[in-house]
Amino acid sequence: MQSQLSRDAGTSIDIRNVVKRYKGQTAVDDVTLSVEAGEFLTLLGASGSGKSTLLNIVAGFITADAGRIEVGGRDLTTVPPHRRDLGMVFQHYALFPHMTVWQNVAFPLKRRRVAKAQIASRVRQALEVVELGHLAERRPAQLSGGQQQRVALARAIVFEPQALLMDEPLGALDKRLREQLQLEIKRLHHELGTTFVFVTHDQEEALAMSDRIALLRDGRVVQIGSPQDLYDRPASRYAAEFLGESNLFTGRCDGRTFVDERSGAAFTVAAGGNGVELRNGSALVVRPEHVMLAADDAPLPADHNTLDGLIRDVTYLGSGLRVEVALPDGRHLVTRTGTRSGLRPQPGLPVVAHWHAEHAVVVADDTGAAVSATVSETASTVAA
Amino acid sequence: MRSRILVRAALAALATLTGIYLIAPVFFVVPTAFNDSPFLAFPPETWSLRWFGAYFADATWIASTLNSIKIGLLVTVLSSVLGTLAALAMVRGRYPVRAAVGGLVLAPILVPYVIVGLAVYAAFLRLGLTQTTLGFVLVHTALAVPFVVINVSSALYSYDRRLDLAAMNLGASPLTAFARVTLPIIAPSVAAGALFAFITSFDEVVTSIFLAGPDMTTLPVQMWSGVRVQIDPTVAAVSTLLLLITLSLFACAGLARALRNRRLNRG
Amino acid sequence: MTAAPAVDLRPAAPRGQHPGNLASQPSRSTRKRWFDGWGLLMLPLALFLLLVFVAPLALVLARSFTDPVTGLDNYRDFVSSSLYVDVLANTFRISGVVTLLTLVLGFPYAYLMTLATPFWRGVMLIVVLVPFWTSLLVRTFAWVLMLGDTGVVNQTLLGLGVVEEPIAMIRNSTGVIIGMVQVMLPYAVLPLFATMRSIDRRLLQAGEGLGARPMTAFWRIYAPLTLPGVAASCLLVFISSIGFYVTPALLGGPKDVMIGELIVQQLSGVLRWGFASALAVALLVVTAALLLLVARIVNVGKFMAGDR
Repeated sequence: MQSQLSRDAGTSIDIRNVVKRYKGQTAVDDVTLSVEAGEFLTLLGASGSGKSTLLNIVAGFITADAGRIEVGGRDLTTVPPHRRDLGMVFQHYALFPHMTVWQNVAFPLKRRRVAKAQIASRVRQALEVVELGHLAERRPAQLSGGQQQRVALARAIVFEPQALLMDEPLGALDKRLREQLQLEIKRLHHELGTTFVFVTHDQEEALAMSDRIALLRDGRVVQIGSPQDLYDRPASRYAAEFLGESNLFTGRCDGRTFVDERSGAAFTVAAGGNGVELRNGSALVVRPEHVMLAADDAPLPADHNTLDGLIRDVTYLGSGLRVEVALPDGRHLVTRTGTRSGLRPQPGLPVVAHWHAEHAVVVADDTGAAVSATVSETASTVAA
Repeated sequence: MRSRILVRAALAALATLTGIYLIAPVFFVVPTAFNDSPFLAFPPETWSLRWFGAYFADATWIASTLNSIKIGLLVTVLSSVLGTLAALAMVRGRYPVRAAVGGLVLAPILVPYVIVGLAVYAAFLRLGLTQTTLGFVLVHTALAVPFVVINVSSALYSYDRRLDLAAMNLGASPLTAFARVTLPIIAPSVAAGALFAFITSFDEVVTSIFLAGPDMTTLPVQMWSGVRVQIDPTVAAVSTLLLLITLSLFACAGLARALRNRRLNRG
Repeated sequence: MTAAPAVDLRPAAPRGQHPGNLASQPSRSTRKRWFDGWGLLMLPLALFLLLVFVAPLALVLARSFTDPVTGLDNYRDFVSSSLYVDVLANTFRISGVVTLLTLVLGFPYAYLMTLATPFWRGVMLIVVLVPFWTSLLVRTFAWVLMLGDTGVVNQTLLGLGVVEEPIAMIRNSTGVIIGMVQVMLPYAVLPLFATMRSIDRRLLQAGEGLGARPMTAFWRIYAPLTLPGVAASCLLVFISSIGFYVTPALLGGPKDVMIGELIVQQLSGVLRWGFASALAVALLVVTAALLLLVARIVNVGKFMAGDR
């Protein structure tokens, strides 16, 4: 689908030392963050992490207690929302119920006193971009949720804002529709070249859509980087658990050796592996797809770490298998394998779980001492 | 089980009688108004439009009707404006002594009208406001404004403030956002409040009895004097006309609301 | 957090210096202001009501103590005359009877509304709302025509042979009560219906399932749950009743004067401003006291709270 809306290079957004407190609680705690021109940046975090507050501060709906917002180098900190020229898409669409789709999309152009003829052509184009040209005369209440969100998108891009802000825009939609719209938003980003700032609590959505992800926790950015960075090289146990499934061991790291405190087993970790500086962290992360299974007596590569166990559960996922391996100390390990791997996993089968040293990442155990003793009881955690 | 059916039947019978009791006095005057005799027999022995003719031929009746319409329209405008502003403050704003102000706004419909009548009569007598349009408008507005506040504030409570944020984000100043988004959405409730305000003023008897006089009177007061001492059969015709107007106004409002809902939700 | 996150939290190192501005803080003075922009919109109505409504009432209060002479004379006159005390007693008696009858008729009506099909419920609702919307004067006028000795009610009763001679139903308290109950019924039915609709009818079934007879289940389980609604609507009916003027004036007789009529009589007949004012103050105090009672039972219009 060809867009006739003009493609621009996008505008950078700089968030500098922004602080917002509510009655003693710090919602945004001294956040500094740069969104590059044309970038798709996702603010990811659990509810209460401050991601929405931060976006609302950028949009101008919430006034920060301290700090500055710059868009394209221009200080917008004290500029009211209607002069910021930033498009926003809300979770519940916020379409004007008394206006038709056409009138909704024309609204920002009318506010900017665009000539009538131009309004007509730009509204038509914007509606075509979201493939809703045929519904222009409907009212929002007559549209499905997905259609409403597309109208909201059209309305937010029609005036060619400097950047597009999206506050959990797909949160109210069901899974299939959400995935479809994820693709459309990505396509839109690609076509328009505008800077997108996207807020979500859904890690899969963040991984699928973003150029970069900023992971927020308690009002702070705990890690920022490409989806791959965050997945492969989590900076902390929190990040590892929040994004994707992981096997976690708590213990001590000494040089190239990590000692699991529960079993006393020592694992080799690659020095400086994965580009992350090896730290004296206290948790070891191994992603399920990096754990391989071998028969009890099979020969193994020398630089692999191994753990013996019994297969507890096998789940067929279509593209592969998810296998849970019970360890002698009661914990279990999760692996993902292709359906055509050599071993035919069955519950009860004794196996050796093994992974290459460079696939083990040592991270700071930041989830709290109280939890760390029990968390390894179910070594895998699927971030909700 | 049989006892349950008996109970239900008894309930239905009682409710039917109650229903007749509620409705009978509303529509009873309609046939009597078409009487030819001044004694308003029921059912009329001979039917005629005599009393309707008497109404339209009488300058006093017509003048009081026009006064009521004029006062009603002014009250509608004034109470809609004051009431809508107050509802906005109540739902969105910050102001001191909220509970007391809330009570103040509701008080006019809670205080017995006789007391209101006495009080404003005493005050307006000194100010020369009795028997003036302004005097009636001021008092009726005080009585009507709570209905506007109740209607509009309940609409504002259910209003999604994110629409205002969206409007501002799209380039509307707060004032434009209010005019283009908030106001059109709450407009039906403002209209409903305005309708109640008009009817309140148009039907108001008690306080008007205090304020009226030979120089200026309203339709309800004129009717009052036509019933109080000796029955003026014209009142039956006027009552019929009033019923027709009031009920058709409410029917139109109900219809408009139904149509609007349909338009917003389906077609 | 047990360990500090090891990643650089500030991936975007400041590119340039922005002296001074970094610490810019929005004004903190917003905390203690009495009014904000929206709040100011309350002022026009508040001022209007203070001038048109409250000030005249305050003058009435003042006058009750000063006219014709300063002191409590007006109130003393009121309580010392059996005539006036009778008016007060009559007001309370009629209001009490009206309240009771309203409940007796309104409760089954509202209850049947909860049982009826949507269509019949709609019909029953319209039957309640139509009088609500139509002029009080028109309805009272209709009663004047209907209840007279030659009115349709007496004619029907005579025709059916129920009575030998016409019953006096007008110019006495019977007429007043008939007229007032009709006016007050909608005010009772609507809140009662709202209360009943919020009660889970499965409670009744549960009661019967546990062996209670239907009537027992109704009175032991359902009726108590309606009590707040019953109490509130009764009090509201009573409060409205004691302030009635039009209906008693048109349908009542000289022996059944209510306080509202007495106020008007004292004013228009004998120009006793101070005494009329004292009566008004007494009526207002009783009304206010009862309203406070209602407010303790139900949340009168949640919107009054405003700041939830």
